[in-house]
Amino acid sequence: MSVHSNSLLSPALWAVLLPLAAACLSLLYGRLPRRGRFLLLGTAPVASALFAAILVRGVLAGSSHEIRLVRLMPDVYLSLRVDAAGALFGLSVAVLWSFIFVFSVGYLRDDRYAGRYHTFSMLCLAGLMGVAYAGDLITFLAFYELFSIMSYALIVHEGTSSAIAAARKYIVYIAAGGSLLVMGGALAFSASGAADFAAGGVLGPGTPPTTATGAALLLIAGFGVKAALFPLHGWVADAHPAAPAPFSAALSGVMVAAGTFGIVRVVYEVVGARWLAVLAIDRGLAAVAAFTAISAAVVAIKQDDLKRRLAYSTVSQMAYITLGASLLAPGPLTGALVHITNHASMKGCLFLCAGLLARNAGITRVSQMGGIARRFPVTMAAFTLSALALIGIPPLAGFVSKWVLGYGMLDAGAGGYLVVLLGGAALAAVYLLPVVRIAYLGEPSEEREGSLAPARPGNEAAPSMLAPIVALTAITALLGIAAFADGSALSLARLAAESLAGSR
Amino acid sequence: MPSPMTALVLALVGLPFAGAALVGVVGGAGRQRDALVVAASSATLVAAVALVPVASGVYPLHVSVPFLLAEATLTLDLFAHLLTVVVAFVWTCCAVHSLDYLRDDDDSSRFHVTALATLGATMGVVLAGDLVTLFLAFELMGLLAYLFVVHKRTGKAERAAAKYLVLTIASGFLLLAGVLLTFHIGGGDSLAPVPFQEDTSALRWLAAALLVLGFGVKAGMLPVHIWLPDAHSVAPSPASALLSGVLIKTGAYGILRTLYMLLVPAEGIDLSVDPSAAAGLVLLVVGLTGAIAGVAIALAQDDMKRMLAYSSISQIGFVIAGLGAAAYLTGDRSAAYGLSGSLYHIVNHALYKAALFLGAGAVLKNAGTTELRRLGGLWRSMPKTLTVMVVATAGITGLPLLNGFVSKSLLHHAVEAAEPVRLLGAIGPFEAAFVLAGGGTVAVLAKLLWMTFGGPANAGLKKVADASPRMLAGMVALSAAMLAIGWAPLVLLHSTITPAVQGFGLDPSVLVSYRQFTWEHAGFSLLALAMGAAIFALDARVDVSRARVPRWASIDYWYDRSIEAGLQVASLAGTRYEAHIVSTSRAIRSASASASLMRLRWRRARQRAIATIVEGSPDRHAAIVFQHISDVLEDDRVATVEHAVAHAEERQREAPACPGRGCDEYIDAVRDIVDYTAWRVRNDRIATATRMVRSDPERSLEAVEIALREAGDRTRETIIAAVHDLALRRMAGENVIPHMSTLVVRILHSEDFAGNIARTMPPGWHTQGPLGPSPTVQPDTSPSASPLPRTLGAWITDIVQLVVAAFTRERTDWGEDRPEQERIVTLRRVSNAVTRDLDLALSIMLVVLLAVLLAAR
Repeated sequence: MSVHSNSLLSPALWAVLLPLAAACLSLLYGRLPRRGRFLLLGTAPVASALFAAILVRGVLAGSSHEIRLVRLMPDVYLSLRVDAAGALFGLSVAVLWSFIFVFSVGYLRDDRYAGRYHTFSMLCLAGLMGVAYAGDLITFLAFYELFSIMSYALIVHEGTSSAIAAARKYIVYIAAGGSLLVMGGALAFSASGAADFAAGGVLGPGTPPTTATGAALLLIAGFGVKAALFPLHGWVADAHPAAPAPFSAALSGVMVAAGTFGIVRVVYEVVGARWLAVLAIDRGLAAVAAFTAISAAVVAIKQDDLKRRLAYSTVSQMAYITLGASLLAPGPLTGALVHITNHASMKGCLFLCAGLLARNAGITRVSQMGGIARRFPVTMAAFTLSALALIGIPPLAGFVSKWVLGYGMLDAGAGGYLVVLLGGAALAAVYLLPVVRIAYLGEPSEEREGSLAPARPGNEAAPSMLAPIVALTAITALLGIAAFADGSALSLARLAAESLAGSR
Repeated sequence: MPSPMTALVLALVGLPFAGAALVGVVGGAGRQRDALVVAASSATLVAAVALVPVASGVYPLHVSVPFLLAEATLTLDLFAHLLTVVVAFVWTCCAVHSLDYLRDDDDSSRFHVTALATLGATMGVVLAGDLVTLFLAFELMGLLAYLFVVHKRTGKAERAAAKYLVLTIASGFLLLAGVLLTFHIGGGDSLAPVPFQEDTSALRWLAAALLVLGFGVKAGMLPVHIWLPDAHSVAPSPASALLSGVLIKTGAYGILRTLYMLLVPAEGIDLSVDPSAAAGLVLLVVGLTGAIAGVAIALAQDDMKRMLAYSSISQIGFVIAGLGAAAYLTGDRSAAYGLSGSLYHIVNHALYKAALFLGAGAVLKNAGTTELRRLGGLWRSMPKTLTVMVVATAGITGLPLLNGFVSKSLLHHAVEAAEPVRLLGAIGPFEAAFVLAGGGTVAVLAKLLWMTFGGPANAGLKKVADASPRMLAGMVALSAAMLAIGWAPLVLLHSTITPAVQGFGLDPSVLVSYRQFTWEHAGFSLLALAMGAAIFALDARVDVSRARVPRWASIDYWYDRSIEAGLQVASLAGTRYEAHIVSTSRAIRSASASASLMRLRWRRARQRAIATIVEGSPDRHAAIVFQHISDVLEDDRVATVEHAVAHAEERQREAPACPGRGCDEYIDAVRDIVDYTAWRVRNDRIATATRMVRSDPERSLEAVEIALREAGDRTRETIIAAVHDLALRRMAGENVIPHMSTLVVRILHSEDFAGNIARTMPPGWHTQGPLGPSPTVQPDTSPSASPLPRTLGAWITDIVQLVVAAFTRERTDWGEDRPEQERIVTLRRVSNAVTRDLDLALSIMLVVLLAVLLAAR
């Protein structure tokens, strides 16, 4: 691992700084020219994605680097480090964000507070990129709190009473989780004396078991709030329907995943797999995740609010990732990491579709969706494909995750969790396919037909809203079909899992 | 550069998909599209046939393309090749037939696209060279076929399609689990037998069971066949022909692959249970039960297509029984009978069941129904269709000189050899079941033909036209193939099926010396015919279709019940869970309400502090007066809220603004809005009163009371009048904060509290305080202070005054015509909220950090 001599040349730094700059710029949103401002602001996520891609190339080529930014205390720095897991997560975040930004241009066209939205959205992006490239626990927590708290303004954005209530709930959960994290981080720091992530964990064999237990439980519970682990997932189902659609896509796609990403870091690089196995926390975590996966999917079945249904689906899918991470073997961890990326693409697309329907047709409930596919053919085609992918129908992205996870589970000697994996997937079919069926075969309601312009090619939605949906669907297909390729998300996840879990 | 062979193999899969894409692009219902449809399917057939001379001698041929997780492998061996030819042939026949069948269908293009894509997927299944590819193609095929089932989009079709989809997806997950397990125990990269390993035999059994069950669903194997009759009868007839003729056969093919891969006996390893024999026995019993149950239920149907569908269940039972017998007899020479019979039967059944369904389609198209009670006497008007169906019936019943004869004879040998016990000297239970099922088949088909074509013509069916040439062409081609195979059955047996059987590791010697026509074979064929005639005669007397079977006896009933129960459990879980969520929300809400009360107090304290900084602390007397005034204004505020809520409740009783549960929501909304509005008004009044108290504490209490008397009631009325509309808007999810602000500004303008007070107060009082409408920075007039501190003090005072003015501007000069202002205020409110929450998290963090650092010392 090389320390960069000139940290200003690091793409990782720029991937974090550019969104921050864009956030400052979007304070002037109202004063910028109408067209120019989108180009200006859009540069940030796209450039971040490019930098992330450069970092991915570097990681694939075998190089990794670390930079120290600011010295906070003796021996404590804000530092960035790029490894395979971070590079994969960072690229997923930046790419999804680019599409979400494009979508939000159309979605918020008539919104007087679009400037505010973009400011906080860019702050969140900066936080997430920082989380992806954080080199130590302190930096990780700093960026993590940044985007967690900035999300509040985005959830409350629409200002309705339900949005205010949802945001209030969110901030209560997140602040509580944040304080758990700080306590856990402090414990780990005091026990090890170093905060840098290190494969195998930083807690030495001489650590008192109570300290190790405390640090592990506090950190996992803290991230579990964001990762929507039962019973800490209460905010998810309220926050998603309340937030503006582009942000619920981001929330579901990468923010919740940032929690699971944190769990991965904690399990493998802070507490260490050895300690977890000794303390038997891994088994407990796996059991909780398995329960979450199934119960959330069951609860999703009867939700009528489309975004709420998708939110519960996110809870269920995130539990797969936690499950994969908690089995302490490279195989399931590969599945977990690749599922973060795949899920971002699939669920992002589903939420954008839901947002498009809500904005252009006023439809938020599954029961109102009868025959809507005739009016929104492209949207519903994308929705259908993404839903099939999420269920795990080959050859789309979700199948790759399920296959790798399942295969890894068998290899790790935890074949029993196969039932959870496949049962959850079957339940996903039960809660997603009726949506598709109603949209294609249901009877349209008279009053809606009257209020909507008839379907013509081109009047489905603004291109800026349709393009991201189509692009994400294409990516979902590509993540599945081309999973074999060198440099695919899967190969990167393999690399990451090997370095995280291989050397325990 | 791919060799021509590779290219041809890829074309078998690629051509149909390309055709589907083209048809989808061309669309419409013109000749162009029809030509494309036929061209794409026949090109696939040509490719398959063209491979015959190229590929002979180089079997098996492997082709792999990078795909999904690693690569997809296609393997062309002799048997797969035969299947590709048969599949492409049947498909082409059905495609030609479907052109006219769907002429008046608006969705015909969708059908053709689906059909071509499904052809590609089916080719993938047949050619798959490894387990993942097989699984992928199988899933794709099953999901595409959903579009066949749902095609007509009637309620019946949708129910059948939903059932089909549930079972397809469920079986998909069973298969996935089985495939994963197979990989785990070291197989799957090819379809060759997986070498036995110690301590994996339980997993092997599990994998085999999952795979057989998963493939069995698609095959229509007995306990999981329930989708089949519904789906086949609602699909358009050409699709039924494909479903019944080809798709369910791929399930049987999958079972065959599973048996071969996982359960062939191990060499050199001694197992207490021979897996192959055990599984074979189970499959033999399942298959024969299916064969009998299929025909028995078929006899009770009153619809042509349902009858044929149940007959398919029966026929697939024969195939599975043959596979079972082959597995059971492994090591014995007669095993070859079972496998060859099954393979042969797969080919034969594809031909005659497709022909029968196409015939049923012709009847449906021209006579308008497939219900047997409404049909009859069509022999006069549809002779050509009748001819084709008679040929197909002769085939399916196994009459000599037709294709079914040879495969049934082979299967018969296999079942006979697998007989565990022999009763009555010669015939055992398996053989008896086999013969009985054969007789049943005869009876079913005889009943079908008789009730459709025989007897007197039903009223309304006098002027029925025969099938159109294009529809007939497909059926005739299928019949011709049947006759050709029936004429020279041993050609196919020796050229293809025997080597294929050998390829599966069985001793083909019995097949080499097999004689097609013996008196024994003919005898059993005649026996089946006689039994069929007897059953048919019996059925004509006791109409089985009138028989009432209790509902619980059908598997369908239990399927429906379990789905219902599952959904109910989910719904219960969902409701319970939501209730729980709501209660936690309430808790958080009440906690945050008390928090906001504290915030209010804190803000008041801060305002007081600012006022104190700016103007020095008020004397004791003024403070008491101020407290009184605050109380009076607070009382007024509370009264306003109570009035408004009471008013809203009354309005609610008289004319509910919302039904049911929403009423509470309405009252809540009213309370929130009035609370906020009245609070803003009161703040403004207090600000005015503060100035007044400072200038003249003696008269201010009285002045406030006078002003309240003059303006208070009117203000209250204004608020109450406006709140109803706002509450409704808020319930509709609209953001009402800007409207509330506008309302407050309007009220403040109209009531002119300050003006009222001014009338009772000495003139000019309001310019003395820093909180006046136009804050002016007053020069410090105190001469005694030294220059530097004085300047500094003035600076500080100025800054504080400006800050205070900025805060109060929110209340004082908010014009309706200044949306910019409003936006700033909203933004500021949000950022305030954010900062506050940041404060919270940060302060918690700081406290904890401090504690930890202290503890670490």
